[in-house]
Amino acid sequence: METILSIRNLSKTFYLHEQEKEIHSCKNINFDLEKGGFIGIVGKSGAGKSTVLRCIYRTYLASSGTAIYNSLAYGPIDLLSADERQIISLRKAEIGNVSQFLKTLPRTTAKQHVVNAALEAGFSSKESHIRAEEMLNYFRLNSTLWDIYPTTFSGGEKLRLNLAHAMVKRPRLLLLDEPTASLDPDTKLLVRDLLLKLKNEGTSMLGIFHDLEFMDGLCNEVFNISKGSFT
Amino acid sequence: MEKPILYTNHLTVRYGKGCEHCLDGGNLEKNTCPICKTVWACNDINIDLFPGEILGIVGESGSGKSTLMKSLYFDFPVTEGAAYLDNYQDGTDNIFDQSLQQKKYIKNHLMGMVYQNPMLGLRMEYSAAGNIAEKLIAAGHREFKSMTERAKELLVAVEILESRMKEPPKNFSGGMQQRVQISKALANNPAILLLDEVTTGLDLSVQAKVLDLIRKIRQEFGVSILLVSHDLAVIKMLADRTVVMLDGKIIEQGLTDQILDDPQHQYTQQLVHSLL
Repeated sequence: METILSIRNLSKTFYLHEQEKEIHSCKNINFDLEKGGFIGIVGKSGAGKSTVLRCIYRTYLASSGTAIYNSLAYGPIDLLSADERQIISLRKAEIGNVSQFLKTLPRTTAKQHVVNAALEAGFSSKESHIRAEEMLNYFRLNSTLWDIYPTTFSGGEKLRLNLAHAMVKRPRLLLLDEPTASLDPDTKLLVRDLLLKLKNEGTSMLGIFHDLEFMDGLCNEVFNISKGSFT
Repeated sequence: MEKPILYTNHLTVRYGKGCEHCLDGGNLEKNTCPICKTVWACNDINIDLFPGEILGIVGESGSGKSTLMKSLYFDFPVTEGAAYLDNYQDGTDNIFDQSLQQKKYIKNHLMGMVYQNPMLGLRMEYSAAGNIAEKLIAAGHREFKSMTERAKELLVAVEILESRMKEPPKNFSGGMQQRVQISKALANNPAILLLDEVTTGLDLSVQAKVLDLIRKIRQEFGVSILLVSHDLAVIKMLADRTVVMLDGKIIEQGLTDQILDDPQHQYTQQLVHSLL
């Protein structure tokens, strides 16, 4: 099996200047994600789950360690130390990130939000529109919502839009940061089905969830994180 | 390896002669020398802007953001340092060392500037279309019909009604004046746009229109944008990477979400924690 992401000794310490305080968020995290695999991370709030994901996505600067990602464009590349331009390019084309929060530009409709992601990934305008519609249908976002600004959407609709936005570029690696938090049981089931479908189609995923039941049958491996370390 | 379309090399703008204390560059805590009172408005600035990228520049008032922009547009003379454009002499010649004529060529063909104050960027007594024509004439255009067509095309692109293109910008609202400035800056298809606090002072709905327009311009025209703002929400929404300035120096730069979510420098942490 091909390893798509290999994390070694990942640690993150925040330093708060005003309080002159260090916060050790995660330390010595190690794991390998196989191509097409799904790793789940569970743990209490504040255990360091999101920190691991954000270091991999480079929203946080890791204090030490490596995250070797097997990129189509660059070959093996350390996400923790790669050039910012390379990270931007990987985010546009290869690595998707989904959280429970939706970040859109003002005056941008749901469909345009997804079209923009496809345009950024380098697809033509025509192809971007086709792919966006495919994705919105795939994630079962009702077409009556496509031309509406998503600020009025429900949590479930926002999440499905987030997934469509992340998946329209067909990323090789999808990072999921508690995407099901605050969703009702029915919507959770729908999201679970969609993630299972993505997994079966070969997308490699790394996800944080609170709900152990949700991960049953979805994840190949589940790690529990406590006080910043895998247990 | 991807080449930047614009990069600066130790760009410094100094008001005053400097003294032994401040001239070696490392002794200043603030941007004013305590001995000779020389003001170091921009001190050893190294930035790079890549094709199609929006690079945000944030910092408090007086940090040197606007001085940097105006220096790059030749509004302020630089004291030391260099800037290179990939589409000018293949990026080999320092643009600050060029003749006045060459600098005008760079301003009129290769770069566009939008000022915070529309009075600086527009001739309020000319019509909106006339403002665009002025930029076209400066770049060598002379044919009335084609200039009118181009002005119409640009004004429609920034959502100014065709029926108002003959009106002077002094009749327009603040948001409309900014949009006319943007269309004027785009008149000669520059590869680089310099946007200096373009949303400051506009109400939220007008701000949203201008932000939307900037995003569209990047997508449709493929321009690279240097975006100065003290509004972190604007930077968060638009910039790929962000540079943080304090007292004339760059104190931190990185991916925009990293700067906002994991700021490293004490000042950046204070700035981010002040975000509403």
